[in-house]
Amino acid sequence: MATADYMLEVKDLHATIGEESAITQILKGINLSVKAGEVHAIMGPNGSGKSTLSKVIAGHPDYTVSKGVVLLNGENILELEADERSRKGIFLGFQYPVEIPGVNNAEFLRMAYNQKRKAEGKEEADPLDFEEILDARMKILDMDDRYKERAINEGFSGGEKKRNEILQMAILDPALAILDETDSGLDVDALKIVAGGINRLRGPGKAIVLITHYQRLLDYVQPDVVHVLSGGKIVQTGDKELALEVEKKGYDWLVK
Amino acid sequence: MTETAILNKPRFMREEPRPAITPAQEAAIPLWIAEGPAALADIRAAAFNALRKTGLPHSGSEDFTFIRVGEFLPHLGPPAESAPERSGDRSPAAAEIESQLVAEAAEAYLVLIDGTYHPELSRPGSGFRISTLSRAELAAEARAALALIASQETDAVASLAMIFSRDPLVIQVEAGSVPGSPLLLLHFHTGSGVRSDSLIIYHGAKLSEAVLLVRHSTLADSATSANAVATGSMENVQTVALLDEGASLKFLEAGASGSGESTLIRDIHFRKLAARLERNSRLLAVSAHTGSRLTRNSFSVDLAGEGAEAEINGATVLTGNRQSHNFIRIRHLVPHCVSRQLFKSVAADQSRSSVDGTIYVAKHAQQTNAYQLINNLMLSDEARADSKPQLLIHADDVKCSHGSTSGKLDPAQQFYLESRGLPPAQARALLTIAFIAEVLGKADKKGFRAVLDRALLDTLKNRLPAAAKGVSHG
Repeated sequence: MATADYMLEVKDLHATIGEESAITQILKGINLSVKAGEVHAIMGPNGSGKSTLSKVIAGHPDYTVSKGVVLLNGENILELEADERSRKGIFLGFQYPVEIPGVNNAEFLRMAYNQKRKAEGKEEADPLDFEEILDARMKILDMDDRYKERAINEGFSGGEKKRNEILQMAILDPALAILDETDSGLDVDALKIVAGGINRLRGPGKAIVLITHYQRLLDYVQPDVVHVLSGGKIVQTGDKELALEVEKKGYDWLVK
Repeated sequence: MTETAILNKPRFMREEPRPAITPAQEAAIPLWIAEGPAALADIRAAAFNALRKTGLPHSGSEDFTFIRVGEFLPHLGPPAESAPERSGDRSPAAAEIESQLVAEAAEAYLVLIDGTYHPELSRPGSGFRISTLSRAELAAEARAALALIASQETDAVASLAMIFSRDPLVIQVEAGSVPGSPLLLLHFHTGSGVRSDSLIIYHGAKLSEAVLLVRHSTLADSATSANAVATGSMENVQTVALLDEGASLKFLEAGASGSGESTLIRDIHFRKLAARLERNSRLLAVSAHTGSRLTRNSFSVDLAGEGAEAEINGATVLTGNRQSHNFIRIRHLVPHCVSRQLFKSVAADQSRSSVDGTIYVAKHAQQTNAYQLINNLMLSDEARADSKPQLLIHADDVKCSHGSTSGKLDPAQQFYLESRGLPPAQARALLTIAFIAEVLGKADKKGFRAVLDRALLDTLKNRLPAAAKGVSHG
């Protein structure tokens, strides 16, 4: 079956938000196929449905899928809860990571890591072993020890929050990472570090979907395929030259 | 404007005739004062005058909006002198004291039984001058401040504590002194079916810095009399903190713990911290409770010197049909003071909590910075949480904010955790514990923090699904 070649397959995906009298159709028939080993970039104007697509794939309860399927390695995941999807290997890097006062960052990472290990039938990591793993990842991302003491994202700058997302990704080592505007709010130095973290995840068994407004990120993380999403549909697909073109000409020529 | 003028009742208060104190009190109190130590007479008389002015609480009392006054009114008569199990008849065994100690203050603790200080059971540590009010050499200014607090008291129950506390414990820290370790106050309550009144006075002299840790427990084999079982007991504990210029006090209090789970269902706890802060002094209070049949935590803080700062925090976890009510009055009397309040309650089952907090800013208290936040987390549709945040501002150049939220867990936070692979039950447990841990984290003494965690978080973990067992906290 051809399907198995793809890590992620989104077929004719329609999704809405809201209830009864106030239903808004946001996704209007998305088709997207990502092979293992590939990096796809999704660009598009504000309000085109990019964040919605990422949340629907991750299992956000606010959205209703009215039509279509999402397959991960050939398995339909739309019936699964968000946590089950995560343990299957889906990671969503949030555009706006929430602050969770009172929940220690390192402690949370260990709990998430151990849930993943449990799902894989492995033993939970003891705190010391986990600390080693965490320290190594934090070093790569140039994060200092204070991150461990702090509550999740609490009082973090925009750039710190994004770095923390990449740290979580590095710890969970997902099969499919969907990064929603992980590059916005970063200065060039931070961008290089974050891009380095993303590139480390690249590999034969992994797929990455980058949602971005800016071509700049794609200088550091070279995409295999670039899509333009507009009005809830993918209106153009190309290689990295498409991103350059969009950067130069805007979206108007693609959206009539 | 004089300070007395400021004290006039806010305009919104109903001007209805207040019930007087009972004839029994009217007769017994002057006698009690006359027969007591002369050194206590002025404070007791000031408190008595305040009590007569205020009268006993009634159903229309602004100060008891969320409490059924009838629940505790029967306990407000003169203390029963003849009750057989009065203070002293039952002392905590060494093991009982041991069980209440915390790492930071293993060598510095004071034992009080129904409010009476027992030096023979205590180890005062170093840096604290310990005495009782009849013998204490309290500086004239501190004594005047104490008398002022007594005379201005508008809470009848607090006035009763000032009148009837036997010989109040006085803790003093000398000017410039910074005791090496916190001092732990261990309140043991015999729960003998009557009301016990306690007054503790803390005086921090200029530039002193100290930490007071406070624990309450009910003695194991007490509260067995028919009277105690029928009516429950009432613990009435008031702490007065007088902070001189540049002094700093951390006041960390854990609610009832120890033996008597069954007594908590019966008993009434009234606790009050009244503080007066002079120039550049600082007060941090953290009070954590799991409630009782009726618990009322009251804070009354006067920012009386420029540059003074008060931070008042409360954490409550309630299950069953327990109640806990917080009542806060912060008065900015002079310019350039800062106050912050954070009160968080988790209410499960049919429990009830309330926070009634007012920030008052006097006309000349410009550049005041005051902040108040009340968050209630409801774990059950039958639980009830009331909030009444109020600002009464008479100055025109101030920064004051207040807010109140009541609700369930934040779905965005829950989704975030679940998107990282945490099962919903574990995510909910983590967020519930985090909700309350934000306040507990302000109690930055490790051993004492552990006491609070055990009291509050274990209560929660027992309520939450098994998933919570894997949840620890930082």
